[in-house]
Amino acid sequence: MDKLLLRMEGISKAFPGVQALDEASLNVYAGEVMALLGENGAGKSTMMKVLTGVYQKDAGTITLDGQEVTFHNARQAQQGGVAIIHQELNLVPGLRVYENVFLGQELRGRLGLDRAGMVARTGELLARMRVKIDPRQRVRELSIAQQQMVEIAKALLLDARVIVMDEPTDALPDEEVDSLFSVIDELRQQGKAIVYISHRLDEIFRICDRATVLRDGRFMGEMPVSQLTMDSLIQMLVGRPLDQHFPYASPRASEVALAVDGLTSHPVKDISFTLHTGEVLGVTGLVGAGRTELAQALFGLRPWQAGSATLQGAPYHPKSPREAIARGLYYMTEDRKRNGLVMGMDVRANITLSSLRALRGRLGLDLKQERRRVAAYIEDLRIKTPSMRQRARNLSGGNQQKVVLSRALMTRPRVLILDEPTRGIDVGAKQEIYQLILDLKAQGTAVMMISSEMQEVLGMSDRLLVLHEGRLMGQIARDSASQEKIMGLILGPGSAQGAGEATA
Amino acid sequence: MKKNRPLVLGLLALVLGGALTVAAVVASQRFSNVLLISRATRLSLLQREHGQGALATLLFTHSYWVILLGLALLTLGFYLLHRHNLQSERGARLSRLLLNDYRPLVILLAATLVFSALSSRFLTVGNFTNILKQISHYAILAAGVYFAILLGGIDISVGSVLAFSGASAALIIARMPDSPWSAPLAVLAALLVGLIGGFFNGFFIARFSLQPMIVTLASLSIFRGATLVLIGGAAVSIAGTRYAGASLFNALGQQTLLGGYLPVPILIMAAVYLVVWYLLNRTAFGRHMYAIGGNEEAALLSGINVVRTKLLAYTASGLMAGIAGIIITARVASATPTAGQSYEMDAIAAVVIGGTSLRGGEGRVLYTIVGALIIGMLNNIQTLVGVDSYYQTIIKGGVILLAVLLDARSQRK
Ligand SMILES: Nc1ncnc2c1ncn2[C@@H]1O[C@H](COP(=O)(O)OP(=O)(O)OP(=O)(O)O)[C@@H](O)[C@H]1O
Ligand SMILES: [Mg+2]
Repeated sequence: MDKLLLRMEGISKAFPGVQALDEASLNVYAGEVMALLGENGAGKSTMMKVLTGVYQKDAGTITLDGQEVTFHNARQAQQGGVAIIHQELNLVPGLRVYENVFLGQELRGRLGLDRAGMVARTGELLARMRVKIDPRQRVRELSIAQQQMVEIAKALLLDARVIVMDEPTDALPDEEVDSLFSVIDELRQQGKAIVYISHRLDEIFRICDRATVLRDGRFMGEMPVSQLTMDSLIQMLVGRPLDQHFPYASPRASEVALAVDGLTSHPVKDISFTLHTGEVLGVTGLVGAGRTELAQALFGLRPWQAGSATLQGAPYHPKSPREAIARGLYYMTEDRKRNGLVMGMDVRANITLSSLRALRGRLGLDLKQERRRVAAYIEDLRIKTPSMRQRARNLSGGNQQKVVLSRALMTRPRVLILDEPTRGIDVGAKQEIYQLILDLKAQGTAVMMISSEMQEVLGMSDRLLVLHEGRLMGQIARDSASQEKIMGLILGPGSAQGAGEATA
Repeated sequence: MKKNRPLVLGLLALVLGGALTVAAVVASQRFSNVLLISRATRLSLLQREHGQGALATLLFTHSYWVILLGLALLTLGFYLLHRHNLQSERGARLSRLLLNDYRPLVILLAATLVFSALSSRFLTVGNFTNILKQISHYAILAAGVYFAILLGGIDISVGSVLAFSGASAALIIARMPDSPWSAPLAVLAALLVGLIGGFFNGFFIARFSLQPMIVTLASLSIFRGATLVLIGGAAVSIAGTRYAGASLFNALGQQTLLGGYLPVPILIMAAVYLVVWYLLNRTAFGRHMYAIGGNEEAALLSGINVVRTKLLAYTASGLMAGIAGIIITARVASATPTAGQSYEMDAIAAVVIGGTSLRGGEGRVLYTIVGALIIGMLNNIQTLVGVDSYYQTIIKGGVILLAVLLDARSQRK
């Protein structure tokens, strides 16, 4: 066991205008899970990309099992025994599980491919991880966690000794996190060295053995998780103590901003609720409960089969996001990479993309005003970027999220729907976003917040909608909300506690 | 000290290479304005001139090799300097800027240098005016194709739309021999045909989300056929004084202003690019195009009217084809059914050499005119030094391939 498997020493890497890594180091032993922690833009992903050959380091050494190595691309790294499980999965959805696992190194039999052999071997690998997935299933039918397991199986096939996971639970519902963790545990038993990156700090205490902290690309310290408390960990991460409580203020007397009556838009069925100005309405449910679909229907992205709505007193039935935004409703997407950012455009253009109408000057766009307003958002939301002309793709994940949020805020919406607003955001920034939501609330914005993080929804919302399979299971007022009660509703009418229904 | 070795060697190579190139060019141009002439011709030229120094004679008879050596040294020098640059962060940034962001300008500069060395007739005001006039029509087509490529699509129908609009204009001039109003009417008709052609493409691409390549392939065929239906297999000539509107119309392709220095087509090209630049960089419409090309789904969710923006962009491309159709028809004072054939290739090449990403969402329109200029210069120099026109086509293909290769390489990190 206790063998130093991976040693990264004095690693530096600079991008134009950014010293992403400044003599950072990382040591991982066989059979342990090492947490790699740091704020948004601290250099975690860059460190792992240097390890796996995506970027070339400017300085430093990487030693794998006693031998110095330099990988020039991801393929070399794989062959050298280093695998990385990205947040965006690299599987071919239309292919079967075993086909994905063996992609590029298919077993050959006498008559073409040795299918039976590959299926059997894949089954073996999955069994070693103690997961039940049929190797013949198509990948697109699997849940995200199951897809991650297929990726891990792929890594095991290549006999990876070091497995890196960059925010693997970012888009994972709670119940799937458990199964991922039992796989990680299994890998640890087998003596793999695992690097685990996450902004969900409770996970660090659940799964990690030791933690390494980076700040501004520099190594800040390394210690056993057993010696850490939540407070001391946050202190190390942010450099100052941080109030961990959710900021909350009760809503002022308000009027109805959005009233929805019997909305049906497949897979959402017959949903009625009201949303008031200056209120935060939490929306929760399992994956597939139709939370995002409800938001998309309200944003004009999905056709309505039945139902009606009013927005600020007037009938509301948007046919396109453009119409919804013009009426004062904005939806901030949960998937910033897929449909949030235009990666090739700079930070400035990304932020103002929805508000160009307001920037119209006498001679076309008023670029001066645009710069001024963008600068204000960069400062207010503390977006870490060398300049507003930096392309969005070069920002760290958390900072990209803030750019998408700025775009939403700039339209000054009357109703703002936030879909997983704190996804991939560090502890400090999370607090800032909560504060921001509170400010919006004080200004009379009606906020609908979709989140899978139970604590967050409970902490921020005035009322809660619980969805299950497209139906509204109940509305719970803040005072009477409890984790148990919500869980009962979330799991649907079949569960024991499912009967309790409170209306605000 | 060791760190600076590439710097020293690089500068040395630059100086030496530059000196050799200049010497060879000067020596050879004392006798002839074309460098690429055979050794036999050189010797016969030398025999007529007496009293030349031995060095000049040597340089002249071997100028071909001397200049190659010089250019090789220059390349080596730049490479070594690039290597030196990579050692520091600022230097690396400079190198990257030159090789990626300013690449079309760097190529333009290099091409100008090399081509001036190849022929003394190259770097003259007259020749450049000539080149600009030569490129004006496909540079205008390229501005339209730029829209399509920026959106992540393509427009290969521009040559056919050009032919149809040119034919419509010529036909109006010819059918209204007595009315001077035929000229403005012809211009309007040509523009309208362009708009309709572009709208046709945009309608199917935007409204039904069809592949731009296939839709414009279809309209390439449709509008070429329509041209044949309109004017048959023969050319419609509007030369001479038979037609009242002809001289006014033809002026758009032939007239020069400012004492002969500014042909009207160049003026039109400049105006087109000014408007297009403004649209792309100073209006919401331009931003919307960049956003759609970069991430269509994100653009939709940002409240952009994706269908309308695409429709407008392809319509604009058609309009450009209409303008180019006017210029070409006016320049040769006739419309032919084969006009503009394969011009889409030159237009696409100009956009690609101008560094626009074929994946969409990224590019600068002013570099498209630089790309067109580079192609124009390449055609020009080959004619000046007498390269067979068949070979010219092959060389152009090679240059396009090279441009795409560079684009693909710069996309990798
Ligand atoms: N390709 C790139 N070009 C320019 N800058 C980059 C590039 N990649 C990363 N950076 C910068 O390097 C810094 C570190 O980024 P990195 O992605 O490693 O952060 P991170 O710790 O993973 O943050 P997060 O938790 O938000 O994902 C950031 O400031 C980022 O903007
Ligand atoms: Mg990251």
